[in-house]
Amino acid sequence: MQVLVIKAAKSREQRAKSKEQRTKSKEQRAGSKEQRAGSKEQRAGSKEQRAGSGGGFALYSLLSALCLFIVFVYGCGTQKHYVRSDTDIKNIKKIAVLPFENFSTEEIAGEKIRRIVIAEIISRGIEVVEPGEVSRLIKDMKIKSISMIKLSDIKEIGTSTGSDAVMTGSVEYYGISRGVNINYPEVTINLRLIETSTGNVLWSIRKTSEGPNFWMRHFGSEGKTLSETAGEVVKDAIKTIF
Amino acid sequence: MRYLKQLFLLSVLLIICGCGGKANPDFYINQDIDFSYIKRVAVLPLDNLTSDRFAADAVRHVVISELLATGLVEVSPPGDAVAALDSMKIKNIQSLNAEQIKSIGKTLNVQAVILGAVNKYGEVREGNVSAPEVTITLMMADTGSGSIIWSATRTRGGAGFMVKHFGAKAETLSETVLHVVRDAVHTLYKY
Repeated sequence: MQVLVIKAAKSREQRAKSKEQRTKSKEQRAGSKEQRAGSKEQRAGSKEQRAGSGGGFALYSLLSALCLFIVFVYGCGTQKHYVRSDTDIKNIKKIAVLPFENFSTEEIAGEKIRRIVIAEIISRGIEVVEPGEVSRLIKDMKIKSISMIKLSDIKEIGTSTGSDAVMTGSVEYYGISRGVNINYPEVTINLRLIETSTGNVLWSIRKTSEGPNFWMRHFGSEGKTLSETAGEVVKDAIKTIF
Repeated sequence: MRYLKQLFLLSVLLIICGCGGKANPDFYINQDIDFSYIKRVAVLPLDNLTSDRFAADAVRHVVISELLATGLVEVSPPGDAVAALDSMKIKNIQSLNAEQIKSIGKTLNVQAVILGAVNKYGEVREGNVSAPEVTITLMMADTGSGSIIWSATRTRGGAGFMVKHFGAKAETLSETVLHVVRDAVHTLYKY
């Protein structure tokens, strides 16, 4: 009987111990569950961070792509012009356009650009001395070459024609250029407006057409003709003053 | 994150290489001179050391345009400089001496004259690619003393990495001339 009691007591002890152990392991499982929950939170947190840095990655990529695109399509560099600061261009009512110097391989490029310039100035409501009148005057003044026109000659032309200013210039480039894989029209001009009463340079610009654009280079789209390019270059130059 | 920053910096570096061109500015400036007294200059005809007949005239006009664009100096009409040389019977610009420079200064009423040469002007071939190349040398002489107070040599050209391999926009000859002259003139008016 006593043996049975002892055995029962021992088994109760054992059951209590194993109950303790089960409780402990239950606690441990709960603890590890908490840990897993905690690491899950951490993973969620780092996922948020990655999402945040992913946003940063998108921004960097976008900036890089934008910079590359701009250089790729437009290239680098800008064109400047000069306008005398104390000048009121509205006082210029009549202009004499002198023959232009021609530094291109196209023989009559100087005269072509001169005519376009005259048409452009007239379209802006400014009177232009008839080109033939100017040419005759230069011949009468015995000026050997356009490159040798002096300030005194300019003043004399102004007095003879009644013009407020004289436009001089040169054609630096007029023709078809060869790019990397493509031919394109190129026109470059220099223009100067000189006040006849003072001899001061009122305005000066050098304008060049740009090379083939992105669509021409990569997709073979139709470009402008040489004449269209010349017209555009002159228009863009003249609009900086009138 | 570090990888992303490196990628961004690499992109920026590629862009700079694309825009940079091949350029080694080389210039001298007399640091004892106060350049603010120079209000008016004359640009003399440049020496043409190229096979293009009009290279020197074209570059000369660009120099005049760029000097005017800085707004710092006035430039006497190009014809006045040619007429002054003609009247002094000077045929070769390379042979100008200090006395002649002083004389030109008095005739044209300028404080300085700009002279120089065009060493290279045209297209060069690099493998399958043609690209423009321009080299110029410019000098400024003080008409009071006849001495050189500034000089700059500038060269630019060739097809860049982006042009050769990615078909980026290449410079035209006119744009190359503009950049060369502008970079040279920049070394002057920085002071």
